[in-house]
Amino acid sequence: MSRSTDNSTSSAGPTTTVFKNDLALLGSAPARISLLLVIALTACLPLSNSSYILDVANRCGIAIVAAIGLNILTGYTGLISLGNAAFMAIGAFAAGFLATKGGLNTLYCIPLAGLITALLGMVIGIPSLRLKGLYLAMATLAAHFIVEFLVVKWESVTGGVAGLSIPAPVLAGLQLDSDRSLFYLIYGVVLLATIFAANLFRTRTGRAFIAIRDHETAAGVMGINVFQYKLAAFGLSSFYVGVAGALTACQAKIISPETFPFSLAIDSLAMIIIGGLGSVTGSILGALFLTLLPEALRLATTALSGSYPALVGNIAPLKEMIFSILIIVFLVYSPHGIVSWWRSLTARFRRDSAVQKPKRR
Amino acid sequence: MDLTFLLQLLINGLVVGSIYALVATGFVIIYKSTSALNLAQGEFLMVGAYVCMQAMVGFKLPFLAAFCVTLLFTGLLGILIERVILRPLLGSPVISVIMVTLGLSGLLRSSLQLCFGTDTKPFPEILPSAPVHLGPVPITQGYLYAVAGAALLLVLLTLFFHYSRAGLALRATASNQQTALSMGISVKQMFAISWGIAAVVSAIGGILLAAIRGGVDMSLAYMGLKVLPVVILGGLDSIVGAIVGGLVIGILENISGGYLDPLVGGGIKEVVPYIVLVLILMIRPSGLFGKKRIDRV
Amino acid sequence: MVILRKLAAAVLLTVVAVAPATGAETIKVGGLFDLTGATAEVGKPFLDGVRDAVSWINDKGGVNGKKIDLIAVDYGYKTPEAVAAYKKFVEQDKVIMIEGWGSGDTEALREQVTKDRVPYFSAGFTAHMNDPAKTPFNFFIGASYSDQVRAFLQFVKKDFKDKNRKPKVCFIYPNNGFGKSPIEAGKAYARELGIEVADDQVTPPTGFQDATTQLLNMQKQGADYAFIQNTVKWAAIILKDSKKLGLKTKFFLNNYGMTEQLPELAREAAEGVYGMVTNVPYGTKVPGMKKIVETHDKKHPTDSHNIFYVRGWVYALTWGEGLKIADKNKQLNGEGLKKAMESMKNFDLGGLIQPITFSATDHRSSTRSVVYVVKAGKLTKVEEFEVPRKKEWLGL
Repeated sequence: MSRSTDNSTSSAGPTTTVFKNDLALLGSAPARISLLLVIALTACLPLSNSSYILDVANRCGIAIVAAIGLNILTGYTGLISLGNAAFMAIGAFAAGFLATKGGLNTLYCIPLAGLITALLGMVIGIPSLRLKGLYLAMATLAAHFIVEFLVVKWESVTGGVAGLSIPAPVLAGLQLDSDRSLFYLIYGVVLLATIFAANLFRTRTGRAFIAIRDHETAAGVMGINVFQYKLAAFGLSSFYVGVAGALTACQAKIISPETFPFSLAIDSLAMIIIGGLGSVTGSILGALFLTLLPEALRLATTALSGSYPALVGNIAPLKEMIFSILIIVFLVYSPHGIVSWWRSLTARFRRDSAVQKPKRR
Repeated sequence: MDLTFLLQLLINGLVVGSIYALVATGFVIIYKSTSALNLAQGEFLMVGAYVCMQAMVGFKLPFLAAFCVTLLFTGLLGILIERVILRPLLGSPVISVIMVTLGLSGLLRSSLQLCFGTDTKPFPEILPSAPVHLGPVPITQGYLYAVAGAALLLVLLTLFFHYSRAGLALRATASNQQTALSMGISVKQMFAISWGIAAVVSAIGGILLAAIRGGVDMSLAYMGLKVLPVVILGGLDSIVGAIVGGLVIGILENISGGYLDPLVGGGIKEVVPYIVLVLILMIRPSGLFGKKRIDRV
Repeated sequence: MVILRKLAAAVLLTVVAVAPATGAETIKVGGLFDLTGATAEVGKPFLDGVRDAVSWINDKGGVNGKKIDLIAVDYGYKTPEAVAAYKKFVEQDKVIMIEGWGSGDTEALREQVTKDRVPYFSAGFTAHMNDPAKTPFNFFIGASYSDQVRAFLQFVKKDFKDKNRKPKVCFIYPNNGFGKSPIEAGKAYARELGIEVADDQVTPPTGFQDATTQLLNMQKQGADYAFIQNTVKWAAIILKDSKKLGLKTKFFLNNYGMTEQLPELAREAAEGVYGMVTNVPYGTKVPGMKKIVETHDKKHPTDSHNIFYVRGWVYALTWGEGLKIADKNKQLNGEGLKKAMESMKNFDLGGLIQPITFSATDHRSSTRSVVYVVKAGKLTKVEEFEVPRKKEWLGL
């Protein structure tokens, strides 16, 4: 079971083993340039007057946070979760409850929602920790439906099927209710989330996660407390996903159980698989790709429906078909995700690079 | 009065559970021989229902002919899917296989939408609609066929796995691929066959379900998620487990629907199977009948 | 093969597609439709109806010479996609109004449309949206779900013959916003009329194949009448199970359950089932139907001929009329369209729907519901019920 990851290059020293670490430390010229370019481009977005573009950008940002969170658990630690939508719902309703019934500023509710989700994630994680592989996937799938049931039933907290109306977060007296102000909030979180995750895998904790994924028994023998670290992975991942849920609540303004369907969990998984398992860059690329793809397809559909109205009904299922085919094609032909293309591309620019192109099966 | 109520719930649970059992059997066949968790099982069921409807309504075939066409079509489709999508992933991590079947489910669903649209299509009346009375309890006839089908399938599959060459080969493959290979069994061929059989079994379930409901639409695919608690309860690699699990989950759903739903205002019925799933995973992850070879920490 | 061909056609058309030819002046209308999501089966005929009506209006000279340009988007019943599409409509396309769809998108966009002053028409009939004090830019056309339930209760009161006891009704609905929307209003009115209410029977929002336990529980309580607040395919499952159990309860459906499809799906279980109809079924002999049948037969003779197709027409013809009034007032903008709509008094669509009346203080287009029954597989009109236009019922 060989899975290519960021630390596939074992020849280099500890600070530059991982390309993503280079990014975090701005280790090489192309990495530095591309990072600056990305930040500059992102910073330009709020200049746009279109709240449509900002809305899409915001959804991308939220997806990035959720995908990094899931990747910490699934890509780095090797624990498969189909419960991402449920964890997002927990985060969103926790934030919503604190903001509406608790009267807190929604801004503070975001990290609090993350903490609550992390706690619940660990509670859900404890029994799951005995399980591996598809049994864990089943357990988290069941967790999704149980959480959904509780969200619908626990009306005093979640508002039941009617859901909750979320007040806008307030920062220094400013209401963050426009798409632009939310953009700054969301991308602030994205920046923090990325830096933290990128550095995490240079620390003992992050390395322990990877060791557990690659060989659990060996990791245990080496003195890693497997149980403790798995629990930590669950908590950390849930924190990210909970924050993403809370951000969704801020952005959607109204949340109901239907805001977090099971298909959302599948989308998150698809993001990290298409982007690249066990890679922060991959999470970002996958989240961008899968959020922008339906948008692009929808624009194409709309453009066409003007000229060929009869087609719109047929093009719509094509959207799902393209989406599904992409998932299959990536899994079969490019199992290491978009990030592997990215890496091989940047590797060409780096003469001293020890980064090898991940092997394709 | 109350005893009748209980009896009605029990019997309804049994007959609904027999559909679960049918679909779960297909699921288990794939898992047993290829260790793949097929999350597109519900879509296989839907393909069966749509193809049969198309054969009867579109091509005006009599039911039996349409039934055979459907089985042939879905069997070949199963084999094709294994060949094109699953085989390149042999030896991949579990997550890739799970995810590829999720992709497959989307692909099948959207293909059906393209061909048949999204509205509920009436399904030809192949079963008499008058219910059969079992004592005080009326039962839809379609469910009786499902019960009979599940029983028949159990017998057929047992015979197949114990006496036919292909069945023995499949079992050998399931228990040890290396040994099977060295005995000259084409493991790949066996994988393809098991996908074919699973697709056929699901298609039968789909046809029965469509006949009971009287209509076909995308919601048939929910059955694919419903069988997950069934197979975990019964044990992922046990056909007997799938059938017993199906019946047990069917009864549990109905009992909880009858006695618990009124207390909480509905919704318990749907979530009980998943609670059972979590409990089983905590207590006995291999299920009631599964082999204990689960990977634990 | 079919898929491949369709795929090829779509790809080809993407390549050769040109921007729609724009004539002298066009009025842009944004449309959110569900063609792939949970409500796609009613969403598609509705879109067909809206689109055919728009092209019919355009062929007949448009809105005082200006053509309507309908920009249709499939949002797959996913609220975030609806929000994104809405933002694009308002900013880039500069639409004057939105033809919306379900309760999810309508609720989520409620505040936004008020802020942007964009009239928003939804095909969901939640009474929540008919109080202009709270939702000044939201419209829907036909009696609300709550008024349909009230009409049902009036029917019960009239139909129940046993003088020795009170009639008992049961509400069967899915556990979501759509399902729950008329229940409180219904229970309050039942109390007022002296009708007993049995425990609610709740079904999952989607994906159930069997409703036996719910019906057995209802049977235990002995309900004389049951109102199913659900769409036709789920209603058909409930009716079939009821037929199997031999229940004596009289069933009632709302205006998404009582459709031409009901007898096709539920077969004999549909016989004798009552339902509320807001706009007439396809092919009903009323003056307004002629153009619909003609257009339908010309454009796509094999599909969409049902009540939802007619509903699409009703919506587009109504706001089409609103656009004409607004244009005549030289106020062709969101605010002007709102005013135009609110000036409609007993606007008649040739019998397609009850005459439409809106005012600045009341967005109930009508409080009349028509009861139909399934007889020999056909929807047959029974009787009309008018619910009082009480001020305190606004938004409930």
